[in-house]
Amino acid sequence: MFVKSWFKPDRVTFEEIKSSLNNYKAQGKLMFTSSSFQSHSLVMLHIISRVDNSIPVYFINTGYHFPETILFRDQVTDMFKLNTIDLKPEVPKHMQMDSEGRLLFTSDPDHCCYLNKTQPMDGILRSFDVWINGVRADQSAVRAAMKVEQPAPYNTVRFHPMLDWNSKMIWQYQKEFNLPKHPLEEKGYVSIGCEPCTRRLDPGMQEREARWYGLKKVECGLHTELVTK
Amino acid sequence: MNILITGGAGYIGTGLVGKLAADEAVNKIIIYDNLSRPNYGLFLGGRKPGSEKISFHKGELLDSRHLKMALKDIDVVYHLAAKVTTPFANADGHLYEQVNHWGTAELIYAVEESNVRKFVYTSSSGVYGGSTEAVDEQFLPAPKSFYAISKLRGEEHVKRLMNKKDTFIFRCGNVYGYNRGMRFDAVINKFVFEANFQKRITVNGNGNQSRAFIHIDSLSTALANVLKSDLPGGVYNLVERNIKVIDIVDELKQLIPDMEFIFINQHLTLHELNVKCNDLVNQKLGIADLKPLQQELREFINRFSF
Repeated sequence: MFVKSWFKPDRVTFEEIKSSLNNYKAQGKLMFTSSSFQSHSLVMLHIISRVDNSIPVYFINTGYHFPETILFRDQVTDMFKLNTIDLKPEVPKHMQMDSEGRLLFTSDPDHCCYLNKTQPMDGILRSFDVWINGVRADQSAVRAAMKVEQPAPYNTVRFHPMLDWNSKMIWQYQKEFNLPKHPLEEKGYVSIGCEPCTRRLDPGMQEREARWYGLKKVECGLHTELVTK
Repeated sequence: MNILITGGAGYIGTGLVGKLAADEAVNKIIIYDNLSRPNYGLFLGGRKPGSEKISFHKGELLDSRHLKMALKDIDVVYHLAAKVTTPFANADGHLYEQVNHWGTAELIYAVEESNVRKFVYTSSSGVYGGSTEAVDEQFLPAPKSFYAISKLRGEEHVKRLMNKKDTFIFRCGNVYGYNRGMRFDAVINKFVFEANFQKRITVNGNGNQSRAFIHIDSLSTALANVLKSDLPGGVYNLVERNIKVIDIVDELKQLIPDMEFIFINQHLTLHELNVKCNDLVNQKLGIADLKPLQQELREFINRFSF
């Protein structure tokens, strides 16, 4: 069982994650992970690389990323020796227009996220048994309601090893292992996803407003649609 | 050598295709264009030597599937396709982003997965924004129009290729001069047309705004010569001269003395942009010899049918 360990976050948590991954492997289960390659996401990637760097790491390449994110992905992949796989949408962008001829992020971000993130990931999920996913409870109400092990579609399991980590623990791990930072962080971006729906925070704005600013939307669909509640 | 040119049926493409078709080292030229401008000049004028190498793919930059297929066996990509409007490139911000930014991003992703060795992107001197002093490539870009912003964002995606492929970003001046695919919305071409046929030129602003320019023949030559030049990959200005709009009017007035000019809004001082000509680049790309502007304008006028 996964136990929150505030006082010795790395040693205990790492060992537990390692044990869980080894257990899945012993049971013959096929594992994969996904990552947005933000600075905080690197903690889980680093832990996985220490356990088994052959585990596929899917980067959902929506086509709307900042160029800096793509370069950072490549840098981290080299540094951690990850098995990173670029996952692209099936539907070309010229088929992703609204009735005004504009790309979907201008009017229907849910549909845009579906075509560029959820749908491609749905296809991957069908080919594996365990999705190692780095969601954290302190990121949103949706994520706070999740469990460390949670059933997902196609008889799969989502494993959420970072669920009870908080930002302080993340920071401590980053510091201990001297993990690199996404280059846009120093330019004032606190949460970095697709460029059209990411906003650099102005003074007085809250962290949640860094994504889908102005909308009630807080999730892309990966953690609401590709999960069994 | 196999070449794909996005936007190959446009103004610059029409000039470039002619040069490349005449190059013995070139085996195949694919024009990848969605014909968003009703510009069919490239397809007209009779068959010329090398025309058997040319084929046309009607396609969208945002069609990653089609792009991927078109890039098979391609060695060199010229990325000319862009959403451009002049004189005011601020009509619909999203459309510029869609084509010039995200379209370029899609192309770069497709090129990354291909065997393309060389990539040439025609950016714009507009990325610099404005400057009264001539700016070189080290000047920090501060684009002012939606068009220029989207071209700069396109550059950022292209730059990702720089450590993988032989990659060139050319910040081109305003293009002018006669060819079959020419546009008449850009300033000099519009002036020459109006001067010749209407005897009255329409000027935006007070006319004191200056811009960087390059002749279509020079640009086509320079781009074609990238194939054999020893110029290393990088970001370069591709500009031949800087001229104030009112000075273009003066030159035309000397050629057509009874011509008038009228100001739409002469109380407006429009921004100035002067861009340093990179002499080394122009020399390496074979466009170091600059004709006097008046001679070019005279030659241009002589291409009209009456």
